[in-house]
Amino acid sequence: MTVYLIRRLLASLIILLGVSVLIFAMIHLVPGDPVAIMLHEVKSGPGAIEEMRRNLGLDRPLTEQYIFWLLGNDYVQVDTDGDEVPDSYGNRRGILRGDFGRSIFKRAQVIDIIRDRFPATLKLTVAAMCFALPIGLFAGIIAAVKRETFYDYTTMLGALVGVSIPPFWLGLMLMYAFGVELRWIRPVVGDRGWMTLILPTITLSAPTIAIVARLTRSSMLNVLGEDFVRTARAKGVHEVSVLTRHALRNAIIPVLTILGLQFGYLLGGAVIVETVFVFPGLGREVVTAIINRDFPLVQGVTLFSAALFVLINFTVDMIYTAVDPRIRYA
Amino acid sequence: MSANEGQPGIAALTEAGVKQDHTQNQWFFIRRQLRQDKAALVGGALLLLIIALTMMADFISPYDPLEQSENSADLLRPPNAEHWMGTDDLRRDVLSRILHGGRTTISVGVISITAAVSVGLVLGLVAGYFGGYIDDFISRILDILLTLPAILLAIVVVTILGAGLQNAMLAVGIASMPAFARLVRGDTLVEKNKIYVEGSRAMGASHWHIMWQHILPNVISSVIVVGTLRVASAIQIAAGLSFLGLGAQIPHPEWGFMLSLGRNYIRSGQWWMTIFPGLAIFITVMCINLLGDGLRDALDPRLRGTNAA
Repeated sequence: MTVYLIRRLLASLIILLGVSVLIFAMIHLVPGDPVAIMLHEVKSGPGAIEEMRRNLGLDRPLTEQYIFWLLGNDYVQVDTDGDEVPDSYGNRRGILRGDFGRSIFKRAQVIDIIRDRFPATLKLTVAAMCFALPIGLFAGIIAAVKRETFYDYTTMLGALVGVSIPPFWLGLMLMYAFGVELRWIRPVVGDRGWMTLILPTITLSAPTIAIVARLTRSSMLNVLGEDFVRTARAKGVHEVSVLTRHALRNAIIPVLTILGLQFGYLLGGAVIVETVFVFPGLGREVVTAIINRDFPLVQGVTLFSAALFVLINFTVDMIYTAVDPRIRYA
Repeated sequence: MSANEGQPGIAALTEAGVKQDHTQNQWFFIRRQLRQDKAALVGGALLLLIIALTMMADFISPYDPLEQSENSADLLRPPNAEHWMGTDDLRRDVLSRILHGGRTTISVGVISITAAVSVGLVLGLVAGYFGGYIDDFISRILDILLTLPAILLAIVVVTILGAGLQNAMLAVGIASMPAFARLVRGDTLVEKNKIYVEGSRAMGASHWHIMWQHILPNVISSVIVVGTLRVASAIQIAAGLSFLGLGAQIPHPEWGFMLSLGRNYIRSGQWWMTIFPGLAIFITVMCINLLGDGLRDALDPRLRGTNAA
C-alpha cells in the first residue's frame, strides 16, 4: 500500500511537471512577441522592448528561463547592465513557491487573483457535485431496479437530455424562466447570497447528474445479477438493505472513478456557467484574461486547475481502497 | 519443410478466409442491430434532415443571413408570419441565420473530430504495437494532455493561437485527440497478441502492413462509436468557445455565437434570439448521441453502458 501510494504520488508529480512544461512552452509558442503585446498597452518609447526583454530575462536560454520560472531566481545574482558587477538578486520566487508572476492587466499578483476568485468557483463546483451525486445515484438505482419500465425510460431520456443540452443555453433558459418571466429568483446574476447560487448549480450539474445516473444504472444492473445479491435475498434480507448494503456498495466503484474526472469537468464547465451568470469566479477571470491576452494570468489559472485536478484524482484513487476492500495495493 | 507447409494455411486463414467473412458478418450484424434500434433510427434520420437543411441553406432560407432589414419595425421583432423565428438586434432574420450557421457549427464538430481521430489513431496504433520506449513516450504525453479538462485545454490552445473559428476547430481537435489515442492503444495491445498477427508476421509482413491491414480493421469499430459520440461533445465545446467570444467572429452566423449575442437581450425579455440557436445545438447534439448510442450497442457490445463521450 505504501509503495503504491508513493509510486502513484511520484507519477502525479511527473505529470504535473509535464503540464508545467506545456504551459511554460505556451507563452513561448505564442505567435508575436508577448513583450511587444505587453508594451503596446503601456505605450513605450524606442528601445523599451529590448530593455524589458532583458529585465524579464526573456533573452536567456529557454531551459534557464524554465528553471527560474519554476524555482524562482531570488538566489541568483542579477547583473542587468552587464558591467560584471552584480546589482541585486532576482525577484522571482517561482511557481513552486506560489509566484505565478503579475497579471498584465490587473496590476496584481496572479496568486492573489486566484486566492481572491477561487472560493466562488469552489463553492459552485462543490454545490454542483453535492446536488448531482444524490440525484444521479438515486435516479440510476431506481432505473436499474425498475428496469424497462416507464420510470427507467423516462430517466434514461432525461439523462440523454442532460448530456446533450448545451450548458450555456440551459443557464440562459433557466435565467429567462425563473428570473425574467416568473421572477422567483431575484437577483438572477452575480454572487449575492444562496439564492444566486441555485440556477448556476442546476446548470453546472446537469451533465454530471446524467452521467452519474447512466453509470449507476448500468453498474447496478451488473451487480444485481450477481450470486451474492440472490443469496442476500434468499436469506430474507430486507430489499432496501439488499440494494444499499449489498448491491450499491459494489456498484458504486465505477461511479467513484468518474467522480474525480467529473470534478475536472465541473471546473471546466464553471468557465461557461460563470460567464452566463456573471459569477465572480476563476472561470470568468480566465475568459477575460484570454480576451486581454493576459498570459501570466491564463498560465497561472490553468496550472492551478491542472494541479487541483491531479490532486483530486489522486485522492479518488486512495478512496477506492477504503470503499472496496478487494483493492489492496501491494 | 513441415514448417513451411504450415504457412500457406495460416496465410489463407488470415488473408482471405477469416477476415473477409468476419467483416461481412459484422456489417450484416450491425445493419440488423441498427434497424431494430428505433431510437438510433429516429436520431439518425433527424440528423440527416438537419444536415440536409443546413446544406441547402442558400436555397431554402427566406432571407440573406447577413442582410439587415430596411424596415425599422424588424428590430428585435418576435416570431411572426414573415420571420418565423423573429429578427435580431441588427434586423436580421433569425431563421436564415440558423440555417446558415448550422453549416459552420456542424462542420466544426465533424472536421475537428476527423483530425483528432486521424492523429489519435496513428499515435495509438504505434504506441500499442511497438510498446517499450515508444509507448512510454507517447503515453506520457497523452497523460499530460488528459490532465486538463477538454474545455480548459481548448482554451489554452485558443490563447496561444488567438480567437477565431479555425483556431477553435484546432483547439477542439487537440483536446479530443488523447481520448482516441488511448482507446486505440488499448485495443491494439489486445489485438497484437492474437494469432492472426503472429501468422502474418511469420509470413514476413512488415510492421506497417500488419498495423494497417490487420490491426486497424479490428480496432476501428470502437473508434467509430467513440468518434460519433465525440462529435456531439465537440459541437458543444466549439459552440461554447464561440459563446465565450473565442470562436466564430462577427458577422459570421454560428449557433454558439448567435447565442452569445442573444444573451444581452434575455433579461429584457427578447427570448427568440437565444432559444432558437440553443434549440438547434441541443437537437443536433441529441440526435448524434442517439445515433452514437445505437452504434455502440451494435458495433461494440463491450462498451455498452459505459459513457464513452
